[in-house]
Amino acid sequence: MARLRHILAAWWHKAELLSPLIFLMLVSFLLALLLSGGEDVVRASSLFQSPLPPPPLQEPTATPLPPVASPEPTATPPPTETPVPPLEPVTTALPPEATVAAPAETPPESSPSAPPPEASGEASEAGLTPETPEEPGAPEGSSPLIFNWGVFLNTVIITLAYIWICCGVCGLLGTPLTFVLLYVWGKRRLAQKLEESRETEPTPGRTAS
Amino acid sequence: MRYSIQGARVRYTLLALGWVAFALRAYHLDFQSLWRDEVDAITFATRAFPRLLATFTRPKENGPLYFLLLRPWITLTGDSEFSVRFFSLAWGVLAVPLAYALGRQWLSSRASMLGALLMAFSPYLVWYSQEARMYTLITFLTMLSLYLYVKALNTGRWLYWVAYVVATSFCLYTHILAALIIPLEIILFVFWWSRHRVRLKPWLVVMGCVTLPYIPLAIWEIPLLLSSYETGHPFYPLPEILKILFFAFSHGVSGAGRSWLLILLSVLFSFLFLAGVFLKGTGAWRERVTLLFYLFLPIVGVYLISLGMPIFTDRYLIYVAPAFYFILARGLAAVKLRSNAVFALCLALALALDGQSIWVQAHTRIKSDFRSTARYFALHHKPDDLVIFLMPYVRHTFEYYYRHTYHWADGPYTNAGLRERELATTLGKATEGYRSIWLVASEAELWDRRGLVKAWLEENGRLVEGREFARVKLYHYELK
Repeated sequence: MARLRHILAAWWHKAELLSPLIFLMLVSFLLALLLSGGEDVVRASSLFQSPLPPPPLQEPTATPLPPVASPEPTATPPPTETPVPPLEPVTTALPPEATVAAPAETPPESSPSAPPPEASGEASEAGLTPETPEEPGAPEGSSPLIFNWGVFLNTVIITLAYIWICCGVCGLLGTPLTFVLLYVWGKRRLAQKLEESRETEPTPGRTAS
Repeated sequence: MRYSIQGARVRYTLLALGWVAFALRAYHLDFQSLWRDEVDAITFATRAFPRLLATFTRPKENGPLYFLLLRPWITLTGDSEFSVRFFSLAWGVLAVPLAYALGRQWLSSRASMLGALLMAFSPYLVWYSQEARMYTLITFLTMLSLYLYVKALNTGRWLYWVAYVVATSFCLYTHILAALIIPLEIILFVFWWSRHRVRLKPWLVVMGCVTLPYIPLAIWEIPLLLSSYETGHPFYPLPEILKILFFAFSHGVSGAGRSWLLILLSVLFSFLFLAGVFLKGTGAWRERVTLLFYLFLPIVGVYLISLGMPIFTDRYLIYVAPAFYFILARGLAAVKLRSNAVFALCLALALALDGQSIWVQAHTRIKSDFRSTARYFALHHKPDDLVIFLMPYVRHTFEYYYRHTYHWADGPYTNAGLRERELATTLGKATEGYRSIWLVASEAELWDRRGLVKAWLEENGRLVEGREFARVKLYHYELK
């Protein structure tokens, strides 16, 4: 009997040690369901290739186009569903290097004027501009500090909502679990106390001797 | 005697881990074709030396130190895919023993060793150890900076302070966003105030010294980071940033994979993370909070910058990955205190899932495959064919693999609303005198999301053949 009690006590000790692990496992299961939902995960994996900023804006006079190709800026939208940034007039859409294509047999170094090799790297790292800084027009896209308070507040509220929901879920699961644990713990304590009191009570045989 | 045996065991284990990390990173090192950023790294590193040096003070230059270090390496070993990537691999391998040393500042020996093990097996770090960019270097340097910083604060030795200033300055010149390590270090000093206040004077001097080399950068960097400059990056809310980083650090870049595997991985890593944060184990709560600062402060920093100028990409925050692995390792160590069986199961599962992700990364063509494109083009083109690149930046990558003379033109940018009539004029001029046209399309949606260039070619020519490689499409047209 004592051996059985010893084994049970050991099991209880083990269960006590493992109970936080079980609780954490439940929480992490919920978290995993939350995390692995949606298509964002797939999108995250494709982030290893940097996006590029749009090519530098160009003054309409810089690349004169044939008369047929010089409509009023942004007067008629292009035939597409894709929204077009209103800032860029139609005549400025063409990067300078794209207009040239030498049919003559020229080596690549001297053939069409392409963006310098730096362009791609600068553009792709830390989202910097694709031009070399000597080129004019680079700071056109920048402006002094514009802090997007709307997005910030939105994120704060959503984050708080996430925390609130998590607390709710934890409360929902945790409350019955706490009662169960309290019940088991109380029973154990009661059994212990009974045992202690039984041990401390003087036995009639002893008093007689 | 016991101490030395313990020390020797740690050294041998670290050595073994280093070899494992090396093997995992060297395996299929050149399997993926170089992508445009890697080719740019070679171009930048091999440009004229005065131009390379000028990038240290020139605005909008990111990571000039990496290119400066890569230059002698390329001179020594050549510009093959294997050699340029080996440079990153070396830093990735060195980061593993350094992880142990850094982890020991806040964690038990066992947890630190587990942290180093998780770093060695991390599919994310393996991926970037196989990329010819500065990401493993920046991970190594930020870890070194933090290690020297904590050592200096603990011991007060000037050698550590000086080394810390050098390492931190290197960080700043290796990646623009590594500057966020300084606010982190300041906050750590304040957080550990009761222990480190005796070092206030040297700390102030050293912080001044760290700021000095940063001034040339800060002059252009801070206004740029606070501006609303259009970067091309989308804006990500903070929960999404956290989600992306969680999957990147735990799963690498190989995509979602099977859904059950994804859920298993999420459960396991969330469990270990929560165990690392909440379970009592060896070490006080302060160490745990320090690791959370290390993980989250730079993330919040990037998020705040992104509110003005979207800049978030997971790899820019690669240097917080060690904190993530330390927390997981602490979780594993805390689980071991409770159950050896659960610990063994979790560790085996984590390593198996990491191994699976590394395997997928090493056997799936994920990066744009210009190697195969150039090889196919070399076999099938005629000398007076014209190649149109869409988008134009990828030409440099193509030319890394195809180093012969050929005729080329850049595809016009149509995303700003170029109309079909204007496009026809432009393309008509560009293709004048050519009968055979090749269209190399990669990331074309960034340049021509309506597909107008291809539509024009199909209207004015006949598609002879079309080949699809990973993230690259190659079309051959005969013009009418």
